[in-house]
Amino acid sequence: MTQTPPHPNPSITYVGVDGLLVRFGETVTEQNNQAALAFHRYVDGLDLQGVLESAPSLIAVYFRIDITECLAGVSAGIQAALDTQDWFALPSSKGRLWTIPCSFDGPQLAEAAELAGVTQTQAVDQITAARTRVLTLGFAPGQPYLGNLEEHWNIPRMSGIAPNVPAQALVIAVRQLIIFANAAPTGWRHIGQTAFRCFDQDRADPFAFKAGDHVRFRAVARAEIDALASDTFGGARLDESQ
Amino acid sequence: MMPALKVERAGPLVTVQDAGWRGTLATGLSAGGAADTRALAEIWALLGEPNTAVLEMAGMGGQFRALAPMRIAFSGAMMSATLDGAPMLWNAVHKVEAGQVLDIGAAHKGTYGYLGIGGGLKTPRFLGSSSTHRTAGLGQVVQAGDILAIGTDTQPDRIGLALPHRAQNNDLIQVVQTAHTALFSEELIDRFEKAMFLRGARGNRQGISLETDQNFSLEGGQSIPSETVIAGDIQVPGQGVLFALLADCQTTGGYPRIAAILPSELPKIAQANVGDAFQFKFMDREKAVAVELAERAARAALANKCRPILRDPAKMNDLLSYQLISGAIAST
Repeated sequence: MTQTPPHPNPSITYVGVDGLLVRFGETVTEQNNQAALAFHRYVDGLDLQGVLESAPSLIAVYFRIDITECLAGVSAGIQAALDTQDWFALPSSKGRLWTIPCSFDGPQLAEAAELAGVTQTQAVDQITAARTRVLTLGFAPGQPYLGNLEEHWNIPRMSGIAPNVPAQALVIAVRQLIIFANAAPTGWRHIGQTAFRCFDQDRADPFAFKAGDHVRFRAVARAEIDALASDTFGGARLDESQ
Repeated sequence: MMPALKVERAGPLVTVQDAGWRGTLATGLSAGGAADTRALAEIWALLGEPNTAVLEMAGMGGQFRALAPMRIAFSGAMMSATLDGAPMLWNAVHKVEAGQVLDIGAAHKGTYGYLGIGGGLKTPRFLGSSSTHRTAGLGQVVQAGDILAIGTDTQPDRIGLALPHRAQNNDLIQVVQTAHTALFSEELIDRFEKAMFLRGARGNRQGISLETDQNFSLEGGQSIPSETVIAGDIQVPGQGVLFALLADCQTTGGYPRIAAILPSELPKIAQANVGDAFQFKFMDREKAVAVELAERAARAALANKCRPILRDPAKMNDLLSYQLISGAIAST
């Protein structure tokens, strides 16, 4: 009798002329994400031959490679790093805990709640009760993908692209939340507003979040968000090692 | 007085650019930098000063007053340029005296024109680059009244040189396989290579839309997890219009990517005007690597390709036809 292994082996794909992508699965699960982040932390500390840069995304790690090197050799080096351990078996990492004020008055809160099959009040209660994790940074500088919410929040992105949501807006799709670093067009639904600057070039650490940080939201009135406009961390509280 | 360039008037999107960032993808900051990397290399070659920051002018230049003697160089989309009213040659490096006024008009063809200054622009840097990256909130669009500081010119005598015009096929864009190419059917890839795409009206330094009357959408494509994306990736959102990503693109995206444009081909896309037509052609990865390495070598050799300007364009009254038709702006 054969048994299906719990996880497929991570796959290596060439992307573009100078990229390699290691994927740790096909769906965004806690375990696939933890595996990708752990592998990225590991390779980030190595000086892999022919690797110019590496970056994690939700469940994958991207490598920019030096095309003057033998590509098969670079790929073999990455495979050897992959083979050093079972990346899915690692314990969950402990991260810092951010508590971020948010006013839940976005123009698409009602629509998002309806898609998730809950009332607006339930939506706010569930989102503020959730302790999310920074699954990865991306899209714009310091911008976090926060997840995962419960399965009924697996609401699709809009098929069109909204022309613009403001900086520091809270948006939702596919069981995840994002705090926008800057005003940008998006296919995600805009549900709330924070005053939290994910990225501030004048701050000692321009990028507030690290992948693996925990984040929860505290519902406040819009007036409180407006009053926090001059605070680079938007009234957030940071507790170390939770 | 500190060497500087005063902006008397500026087109709607004049920005400071250099080669941008490398190694910041993990923080969410994309590579950014000049939209036309070849044109940036040409400015560096003309000035004889690599890695300097230049002005990128989208569609329209501006009026600039030299507050000190300086060298200037032009490349990229050809724009009408005059110095105190006298026409100046594009793709060339010139001497400018203090007080002279440089006027740069609209692009004749293409989108991004470049103005380089001997010594380079000295605007604030973040993590090693002074590029303006608007989606990241880095740098500012150049405005009338700005005074742009300039560094020390290391090659003040390198003037009166031009780069020959490079003939290339702008309609055919070479691409390679990327993240989701294998998810598309052979039939669809075949159609993708045969289809004619028009550069759509939506476009900026983040990317441009590619219009087609065909549907290339991937079934189930809306549930792909967000992954790292880079400039050159061609995204296929649900609704048919494709997007080619450029320098200031996001670092992660959840739309299926059908192909990746070769970095050396990206300037063609960046420079396209609305309505320009292209076809895409897949190339083997090994061959693409050879093309990229050859382009790197060609860019490194550009400084040696600069030739003395044979005729003084300021004294020519057939300048436009001379530039556009003969193309023989430099000795060989």
